[in-house]
Amino acid sequence: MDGLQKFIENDSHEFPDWMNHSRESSLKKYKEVCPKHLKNATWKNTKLNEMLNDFFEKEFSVQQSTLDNIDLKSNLDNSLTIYFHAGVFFTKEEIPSYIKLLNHKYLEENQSIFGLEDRSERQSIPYLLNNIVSRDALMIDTAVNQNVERLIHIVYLPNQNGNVAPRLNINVSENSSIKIIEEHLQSKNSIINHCIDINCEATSSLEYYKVNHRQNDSYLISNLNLNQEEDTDVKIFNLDLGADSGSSLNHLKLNGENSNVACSTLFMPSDHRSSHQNVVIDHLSDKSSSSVNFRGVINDEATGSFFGKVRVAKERRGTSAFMQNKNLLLSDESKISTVPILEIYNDDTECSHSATSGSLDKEKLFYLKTRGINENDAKDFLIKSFIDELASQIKSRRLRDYVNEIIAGNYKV
Amino acid sequence: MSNILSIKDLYVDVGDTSIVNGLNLKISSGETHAIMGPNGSGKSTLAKAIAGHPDYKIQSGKITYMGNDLSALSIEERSNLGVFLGFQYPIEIPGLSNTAFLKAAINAKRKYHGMDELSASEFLVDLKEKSKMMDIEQSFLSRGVNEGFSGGEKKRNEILQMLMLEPTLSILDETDSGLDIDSMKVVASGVNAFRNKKTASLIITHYERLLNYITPDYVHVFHDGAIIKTGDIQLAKDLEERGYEWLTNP
Repeated sequence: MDGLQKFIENDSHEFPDWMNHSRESSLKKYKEVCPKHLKNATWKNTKLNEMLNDFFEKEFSVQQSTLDNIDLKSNLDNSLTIYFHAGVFFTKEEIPSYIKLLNHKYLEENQSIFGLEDRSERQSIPYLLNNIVSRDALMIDTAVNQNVERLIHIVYLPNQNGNVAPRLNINVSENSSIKIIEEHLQSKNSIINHCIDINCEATSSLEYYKVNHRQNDSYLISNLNLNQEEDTDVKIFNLDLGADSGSSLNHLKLNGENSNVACSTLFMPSDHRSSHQNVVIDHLSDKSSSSVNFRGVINDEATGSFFGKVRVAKERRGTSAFMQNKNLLLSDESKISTVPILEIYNDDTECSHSATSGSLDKEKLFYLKTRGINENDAKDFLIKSFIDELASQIKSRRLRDYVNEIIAGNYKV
Repeated sequence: MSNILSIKDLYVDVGDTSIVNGLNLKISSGETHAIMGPNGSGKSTLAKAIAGHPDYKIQSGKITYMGNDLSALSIEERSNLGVFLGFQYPIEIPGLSNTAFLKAAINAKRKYHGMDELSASEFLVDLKEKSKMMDIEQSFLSRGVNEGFSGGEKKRNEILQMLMLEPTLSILDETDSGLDIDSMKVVASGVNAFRNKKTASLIITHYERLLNYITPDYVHVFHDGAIIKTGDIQLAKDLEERGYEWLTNP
């Protein structure tokens, strides 16, 4: 814990008082909360203890030369691309009024970004750590009735020996819409603790995509906290290729009538990597609906896990929830655990959940081979078809193609 | 007429159970054979053993196809050399479109024979013509393999695959089961279109009705994993009238 204190003191001169106070209070809270929760279901699959031991040995490597070697051209044409490197967000383009980068002006009015309201103690651990380490934040706040046509592409550039904590706060204002894709490029020997809060005001819509490329010798914790008001529609698609210890924690709160969320994740760890997926959905309003669809493709000696929980309170009526987790194990050494849970406290709800895990279907392989397709190609087809069933649900054709390209380059039979 | 399939004293086990017990059968080019028999007589086991299903183990005997010992060939080699199995229960593969699947299958065969891949336009023209013949809507072709197809559509899709792959030996395992009369006519027209002097068919069925549309040269009655009687179409008609008892339990 002394390392934490030292870490804060070392660069406190760079920040305004309110930020230093926020960091200090996060540290205090962290010391109180962390020991109580590290063994619970959220964290037990991760190597969080190990990560915390390493946490403050890493330093930000602010190396302009590293940036010089990176092609800052976005792979997605016509998108507004914002980069993140060495703890700071930046862009080569003019920043539109609905986007703010905190490091440009440490405004006290923005301190609510680092607030911990609406988070349980258990969920607050990564956010507390993020508060201590984060030195910048990206805020997106659409105007009322604004339809943001340009795709927002947030690219996390490769880190080496970095301890990085991106912080994002997105507010999709009333009757507005936006599409955002976040992409973590491959890092090495790093700790990435990504925290994002999203609020969707009434009658807004959001498409949110996240791609975590393979991380080498690195820890990755990806946290999403979503709140939806009435008549909102949110579509989430995550692609996670695993890290030495990779975890995604999603807490989705349906706080308004007729709020709908569809959350799909494809996790594909290989080699010795892991990808632990955790999603909790709270139906806090009547007539809300959720659809959770997670698929794991686990190869080599990799480990995957799914923990999903849907909660519908007693007084909430007319809700519907669907949760599915399907996993494909591609080797004898790969491992998966899956825990889908429904906590339903009334009869006026339509819920279903299912989970399956197994290797490639022998009868399907036989069928393909009887049509002349060789063993490797047949396996390839079956893996692709398993993936494509999920990836084909990506609404935007451009992003679907983009995600498929990344997938194609990242799995092997 | 040349010999296409020759089965000599064949014994096939599934797990610890012996299913095919001393089967002998010869099929020459231009011939259509029908195998009939009650449930559990080993008809489908024979079909899967010829196609090379790994759970169907040949304990003794030999299957020779066009001069090749089939047990020495992989499943895909058998297919590429012209053996086609139409499944009793066609497999669904969501996420893999029928078109992509058929194109891959055709090109795998062409590659095996040292030929260039079929051009997209040639493939599509052929597919359009044959899917029309099998009364399969174009929109079905972009769907996953057999995904959401009715029983009849799945069977017609099997025959479409057969027509596209142009095999030498077609084994149709209870292709008529679950078909209404209209679908049966469509399936039969596909099978009849496939018949010529160079090809051969082995049709496995319970009932005579499919054979009203595809007239076989030989009808074999299967019981306890072996052929107990061989005849012509009249034998199928007798079976329809009298059942199997008079042969299996005389």
